[in-house]
This record gives sequence, C-alpha cells and structure tokens, in this order.
Amino acid sequence: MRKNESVKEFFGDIHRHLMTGVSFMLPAIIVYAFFMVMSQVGGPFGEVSAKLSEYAHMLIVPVLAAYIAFSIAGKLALIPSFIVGVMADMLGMGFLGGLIVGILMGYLIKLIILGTSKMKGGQTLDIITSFILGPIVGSLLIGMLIYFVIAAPISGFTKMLEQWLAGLSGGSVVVMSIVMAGMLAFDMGGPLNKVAYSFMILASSEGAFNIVGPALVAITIPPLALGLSTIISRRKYSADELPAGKTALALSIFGLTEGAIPFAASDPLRVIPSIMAGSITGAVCAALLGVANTSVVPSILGIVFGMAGTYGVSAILFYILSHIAGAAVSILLLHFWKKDVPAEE
Amino acid sequence: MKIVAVTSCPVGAAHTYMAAAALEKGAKKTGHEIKVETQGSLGFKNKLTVDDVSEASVVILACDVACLEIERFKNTAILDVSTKKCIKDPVAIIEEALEKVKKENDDEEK
Repeated sequence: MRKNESVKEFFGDIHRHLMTGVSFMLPAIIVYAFFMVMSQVGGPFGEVSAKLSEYAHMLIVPVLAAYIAFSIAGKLALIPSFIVGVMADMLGMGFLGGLIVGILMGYLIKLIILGTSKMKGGQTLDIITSFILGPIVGSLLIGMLIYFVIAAPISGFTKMLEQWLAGLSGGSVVVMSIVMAGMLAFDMGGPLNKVAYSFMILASSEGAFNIVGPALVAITIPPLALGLSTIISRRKYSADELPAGKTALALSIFGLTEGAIPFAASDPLRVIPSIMAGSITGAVCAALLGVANTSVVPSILGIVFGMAGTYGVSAILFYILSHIAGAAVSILLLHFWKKDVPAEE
Repeated sequence: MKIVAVTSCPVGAAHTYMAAAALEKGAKKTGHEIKVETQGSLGFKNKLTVDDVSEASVVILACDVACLEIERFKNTAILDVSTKKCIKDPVAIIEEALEKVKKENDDEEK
C-alpha cells in the first residue's frame, strides 16, 4: 500500500504533464500553420512567412519534449530536453518522439534530483547536479538511448503512418472523417481535439488535402451551431448563457471550437453528443462531396487561403453546404433534446 | 477562513477563468475569503503575494497543466483538483479544502 502510494507520488499525474507540453507547444503550431498559409502569397512577404513557418515547425517537437519534462521535474529538465528534442525531430520521430523524450528526460532528471537530495553534499553537490549531472549527463543518457535504440523503430512507424495517410481514398476517407470529426468536437480544444488537429496538419503536409477538408468543417460546427442555437432556441438557455452564444458565433468565424465550451460545461450530456453528431455529419458530407483544402485553417479563412484559386466555385459551395448540414443537425438535436430553462431563476 | 487558489488549463483561455470565477462564487456562498490566481495563456493574473500565501490556511490547486512556482506553497496545506470539478461544484471543493485544513490541524495536535 505504502509502496503503491510512493510510486504514484513519483509518477504523479502523467496526463497533466502531457497537457503542459501541449499547452506550451500550441502557439508554435499556430504560428507554423498561419505562416505556412501566408507563404503562399509570394513576394518578399511570402518569403519571410515561409522562413517563420519553417522555424516554428522546428520548435514544435523540442518545445513539446521540454515542457513535458519541465512539468515532471522542473527547470533543470528544460535544456537537456530541448537538445534531445531537436535530435529526435531531426531523426524523423515527430510528435511521438517529443512525447518520449519529454517523459524519459523528466523522470531521469527527477530521479537525479531525488538521488542527490538524499546525499549529504551541501552546496558543492547542488552545483554539480545543476551544471553537470542535469544538463550533461541527462542529455548524454537520453540522447544515446534515442539515437541508438528508440529512433529507428519510431521513425519507421511515423513513416508508415504518413504513407498510409497519403494512400487513403474513397470509403476510408469517410471513416477517417467520422473519427476525426468525433475527436475534434468531443472536447472542444482539449487533448483529443489537439491529437486530431495535429493529425490533420500531418495529413496536410503529406498532401492529403481530401482529409483536411472534412476535418476543417468539423472544427467550425460546434461554436457555429451553439451560437445559432441560442438565437433560434432561446428558451433552452439561461440568461447567463445567451451572451456566450454571441461569443461562440464570433469565435466560429475563426473556427475556434473552444467557443462551445461554456455550453458543454453546463449541460455536457446533451451538448457534447449534439455537437459531435453535427461535426460528424458535416465532415461526412464534405468527404462524400470531395471537399479538399490546402490550408490548415478552418471557417472563412479556410476558403480564402485553402480553396480560392485552387478549387472551383462548386467546391467552395460544397464546403459551405457541409457546414450548413452539420450545423442544422446540431441545432435540431439541441432544440429537441435540451430542456427548457424556467423563465425566472 | 482565508483560502488561496491557482487555476490553469491547457489552452489558458477558458477553463482557467471559468474555474476561477466558480471558486469565487463558491467562497462567497459559503462565507469565506478567497483570492484566485490565474495562470492563463497571458501569464499570471491576480498573482498571490507572499502575504496572501502565509495568511491562507489552505491552497486549492485547480491546475490541469503544471502549476508554476509551486514551491511557494510548501508550507501550506494543498488540495489538488481539476478545473472541471471546480466549475461543476465549487461549494463542494471549498468544503473539501476546509476539511483538509481540519484534518491537518488534528494531525499536528497528535
């Protein structure tokens, strides 16, 4: 019993560590995606954008690794994880590599800190720990482990995944769309959403634009549907929630799924299935209509950056149509499923 | 009783502030004093001072991601919860925190 508890104390809340990494990585992904789109503008501005996007992309995996390790073991774990994180990225290990480096480094550094704190070495030992044991030994041990042992199987797996993605077509695109849309809508910007979004960026970089289109539709539907629902089905929402509807509508213009959170928080069992159903409907429509998108930004921005000029007017119409179909399903479900809120509360 | 709390979430834009608002509401309902620090995407807001922490009998950490500068609370009773739980039932969280204080006081007397 006691032993179990100390094991639990050592490993702590793994989920929290991973989320810390994702939280710090997110801005890098946004910058990468935004400037990748901007680089298509061309000219000097396009050139700068391409560079910014490229460098942001280089930071994604190291930052993920570093802040997972930071969450586990604190400041001392940052630099060695950045270094080995860059190495893992260069070896083609992708997100998975960042995850592995962060976890391994975090616990190694934590072990080092625990071990040296039990020895009586005073300040000298502290200095040795923070300048030699942590950065140098940490980098060396995990670096060797990654370089000689872990890199080959993981980068092989990542390559397989990429090839599989690029080869997807027809029915499998529909299945893929259902899974991705469900994940995107389920936790509205939470961990599952980010896994699906990262996957979508991977698909985009592999040129699988027919998978990106449906996913982008799925992202926008939850805030769009809830925003419209507060207007159409006013009685289903309390006075507190109505202003959140306007916010959700505004966020849906930029395709931020987070706009749906306040509604899901107050009535999760009805709201989450409703928006998942809407997102899945929209994504399947888009998949069946063959909606593709070369950008990684949703909503109207997706039309401007990923469709205009590349795909015809009919494709853009199908894109909009898919949004309408998905939102309609969510709005109807919300209308008939949610309970009326008493006028006075 | 004086309570302090820290909230944080992965995106740092929604749950962080919702949990903070909920805790403030919950404290008001139960008649306790609370100060909530948010560690959102724009960094610290309403940051707890040294005095805040030393005067508080308990700190509620509603952190879905790593709480920054956690070493501030090494001499304070800590209650670890998720932001979700705070938003759902802040009163229960406040009560749980108070129970924690009571239990630690009992342990000390022994």
